[in-house]
Amino acid sequence: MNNRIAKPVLYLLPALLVLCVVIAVPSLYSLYLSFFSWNGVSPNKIFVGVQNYIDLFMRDPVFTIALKNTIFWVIASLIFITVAALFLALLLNRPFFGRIVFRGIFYSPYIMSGIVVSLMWSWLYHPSMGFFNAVLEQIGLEPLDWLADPSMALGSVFVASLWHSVGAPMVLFLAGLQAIPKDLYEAVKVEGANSFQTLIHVTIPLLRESFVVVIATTLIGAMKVFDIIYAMTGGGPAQKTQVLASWMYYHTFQFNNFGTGSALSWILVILVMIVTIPYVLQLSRDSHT
Amino acid sequence: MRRTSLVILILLLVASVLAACGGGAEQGAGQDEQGQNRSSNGKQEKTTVTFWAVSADEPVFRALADQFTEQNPNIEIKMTGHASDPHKEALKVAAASGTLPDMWFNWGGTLGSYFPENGFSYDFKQHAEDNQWGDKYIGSSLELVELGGQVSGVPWKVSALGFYFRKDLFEKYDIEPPATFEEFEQVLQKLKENGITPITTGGKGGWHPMRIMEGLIEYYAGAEGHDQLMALEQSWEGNQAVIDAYAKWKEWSDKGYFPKGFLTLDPLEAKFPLFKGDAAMILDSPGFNKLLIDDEQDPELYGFFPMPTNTDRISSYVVMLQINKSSEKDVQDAAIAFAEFITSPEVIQENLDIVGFPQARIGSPISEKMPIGSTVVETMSSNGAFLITDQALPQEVLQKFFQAQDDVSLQRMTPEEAAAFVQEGINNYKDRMK
Repeated sequence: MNNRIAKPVLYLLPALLVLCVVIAVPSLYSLYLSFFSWNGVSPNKIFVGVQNYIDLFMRDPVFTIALKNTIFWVIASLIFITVAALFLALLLNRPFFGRIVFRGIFYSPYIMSGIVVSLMWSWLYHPSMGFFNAVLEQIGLEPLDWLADPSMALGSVFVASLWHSVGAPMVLFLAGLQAIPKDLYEAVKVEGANSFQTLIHVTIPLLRESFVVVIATTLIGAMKVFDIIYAMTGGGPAQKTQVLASWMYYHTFQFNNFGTGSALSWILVILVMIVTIPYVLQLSRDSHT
Repeated sequence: MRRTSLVILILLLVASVLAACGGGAEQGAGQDEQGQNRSSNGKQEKTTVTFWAVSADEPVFRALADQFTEQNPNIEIKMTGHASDPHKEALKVAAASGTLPDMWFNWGGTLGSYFPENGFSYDFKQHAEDNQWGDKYIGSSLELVELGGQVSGVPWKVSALGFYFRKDLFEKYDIEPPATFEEFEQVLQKLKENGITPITTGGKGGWHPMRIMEGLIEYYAGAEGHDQLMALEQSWEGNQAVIDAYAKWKEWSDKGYFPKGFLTLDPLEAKFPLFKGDAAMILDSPGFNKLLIDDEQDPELYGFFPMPTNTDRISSYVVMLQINKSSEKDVQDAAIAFAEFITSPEVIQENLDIVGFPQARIGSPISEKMPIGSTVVETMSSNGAFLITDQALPQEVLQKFFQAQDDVSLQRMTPEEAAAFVQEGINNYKDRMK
């Protein structure tokens, strides 16, 4: 084999092997399992074809709730996390006293464990002893069922997640902002552009690379959200905060439906692919033009 | 030069792969095939038993493990604790991935039966016969650990649920512990009228409020009907007893007989309103007595009565220690020795204040620090029992039961719809099991 081809292949081989063993083989095995009815341990796997997929769509109302919630979570994450991170980055990129401290403060929730964040926010939302209801009562308003009211439970959990995860994209945006040459800002200032015009026509276009990373990581993170839901509501009340990843976990490890759990995981994979592949393709096309 | 680097790199890779392959053998050099450590002169050192407990009982097990290892220095108990729900899930994950510990705490019914039914747990049948378990453990506890046609664990405690109430609040509002369901409803109403939350509960995970719901089913369906419903022998859909039970659940929920936002409260948090005097009762297991001591509450402040269902039966369950069928023989023996050690009368007597009650061991005494203990045990022996719902129903159906319970509280399902919804879950489960 040509040395020019052999060498990179050889260098890539260890990583490829690890990838195959850790990701590709288990993924294909779970695809295989999704066509069986199996409790995870029995020697008998019963082939059911695509019945697990049909059952999820036709006979499992919680799956529909989980699918809708996952879509909500992805859209909300893309909008709120990205906007909040950009806003904080723009704010903390300005020179002011104590800027470094504030950067640390806003980044710090990100280094906390998801479970710690969940417990902390569960207490903040506590119906009788929580901070938020205490504030509402202080100002003469009725306390709210932050996590027990299905119409606001998922939103309440999302706020906790937003607080937890905004730090990482903020740092990425900050890095992007610091890479923008100062003379560009001076030039548009001379041209008479106001702050908003500068943001739209200079800052955001030049943060393109940062946006790529932030959107991709936020998207994938949102698709597979699990821990904060599991810890704060357990999917309740009445399964109204289930997402695909948590429902997959319940099917697999609580109900011992490994086939259905695997089918769910593949639906999740397909969804991630449908959203991510066109995005990545578009980006790679743009980067070559 | 480049070619030389390439050759060196390949050699290094091959060497590292070989080293990794050989690592296992090197690592295992100090161990024989039975998981025992041996010193270089071949002398036996320690047998290690890995043990998973629920975190609530972990301090007790740790204390007992220390005493056990003091008497058996060649055995080491390596313990890991999980909260209740994560414990159930971690066991399933471990079973599916072949990483079960040598011994684990478990409940009976459909929670515990998974392990004998799938060949994961040691069958104590022969051991029980050889060691006269019939003379040592309460008969009902032995019946409850018999799962999947096996004696699936060493019974540790047999629990039954009842209401623990604040005596001071009952006295303040001139309330007597109720004996009938009708009296019970009057108590609930009176407490609520006086600004007290009658019953505290935490609905996250579903099993805590389930205890109230199953009491309602017992009241409306009667003993026989309740048993048939749990055995999936009677339809839930259109069943008047089930509909009435859900209707009553909705009524109590609407009237605010449970804490605000209880549906997603952690069951561990349910005790706080009771301790603060904001709530008057909690439907709990005898473990609540020990919890009062652990949380530095005054046990004298609390009384006990069984949930009045007019059938004289109370919700019961067993907790046990199961042992890995695949563990090596000497590890199994060490695990059995530990399980029998902690259920021995001498050890229970010496550790009365920490082990709690009611022990499955015949004639186990109760600590004087748990003044309600004797009332609880008397109630358990005088009343009949039914198996607690989360051990009676298949786990898949149970999830539907929990969801219906929540949806009725949230006014998103009528009692009729809730009954039909659970039956739909039962039908799906039966279809899948065919």
